[in-house]
Amino acid sequence: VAILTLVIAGLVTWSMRASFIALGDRVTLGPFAERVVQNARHATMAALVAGALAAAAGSGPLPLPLPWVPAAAAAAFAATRTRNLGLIVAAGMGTLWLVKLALALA
Amino acid sequence: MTAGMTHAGVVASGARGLPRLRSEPGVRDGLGVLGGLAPLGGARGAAVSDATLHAGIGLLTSPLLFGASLQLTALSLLSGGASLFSVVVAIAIVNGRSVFYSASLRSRLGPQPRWFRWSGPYLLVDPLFALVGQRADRAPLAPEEIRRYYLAAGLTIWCGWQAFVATGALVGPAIPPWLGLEFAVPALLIGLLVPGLRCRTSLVAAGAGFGVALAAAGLPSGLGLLVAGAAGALIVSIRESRRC
Repeated sequence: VAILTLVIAGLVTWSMRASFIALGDRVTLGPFAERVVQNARHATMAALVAGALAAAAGSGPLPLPLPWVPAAAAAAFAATRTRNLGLIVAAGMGTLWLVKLALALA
Repeated sequence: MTAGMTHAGVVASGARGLPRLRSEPGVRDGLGVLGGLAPLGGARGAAVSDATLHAGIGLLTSPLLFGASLQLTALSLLSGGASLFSVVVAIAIVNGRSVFYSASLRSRLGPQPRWFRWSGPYLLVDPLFALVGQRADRAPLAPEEIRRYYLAAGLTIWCGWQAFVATGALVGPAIPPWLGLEFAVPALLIGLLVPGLRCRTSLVAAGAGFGVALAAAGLPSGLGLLVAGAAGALIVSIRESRRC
């Protein structure tokens, strides 16, 4: 039953991903709807960042976890200077460890 | 491969093929993404080993669902004995944003052959969506070029992800939590998001999506993201008439 569930869930996942791409020109969106889906890229990626930060905060008193905020800011700053994802992640992780160390020493 | 090809010849052509593969833009960008995805893949693999399911079934979530949040949802629900219907509905909600991705990428991919339009979307996960969008923003590409980029990046991410999950199932529990490796994922997403914020419209969309996602953090996983993505896109589409 578990394997059958996963197969059906996989088909649902794939059909949702395929929806508009597979239909191609057979479905047309109006100009406003087209603008909405094009703008959804930045909104959704930013929402993913916010969701990950909020999930890390858990049930804490702040909506965002303290060490993650400067680390995210450092990653964002690095991203304005380079497109190298390894460097961006390294900038964020390095800042996170420095802030954690500072908090532990304080 | 010709029948007369020597073993040394095979090795030499393999050694030449690897740098050629790495110079492929899609492979290069996909490898860049994998650095940030490694901790998440490891964590999902560790979840496989934690779940009360048979490890083989847990590992099957990786190729069948191919998506970190989808895998976690399926693992937690199946481990808790949820019904087929509730698992499928939950997966559909968590995966809701991929309909946006599909609609958004359709015009960027341009006219494509039927085989690609049906099989390519299997690879459509968050980082691939961001990479293809960025690539299309940088310079207009012919349909065959964007297809080549999509497949190269997507297959690179897919292969790396399967390896990370399998490795995580073996060694994930040994990674010390104080390293905070889970932060690599938002750092990676920031790296995929920020270079694309080149005009007021994209900044407003990102700001609205970020704000709504924080406000909707209490909603079930996936639903909050869907609401935030839709609300952010709607807000900016109503306020800003121009695209960048």
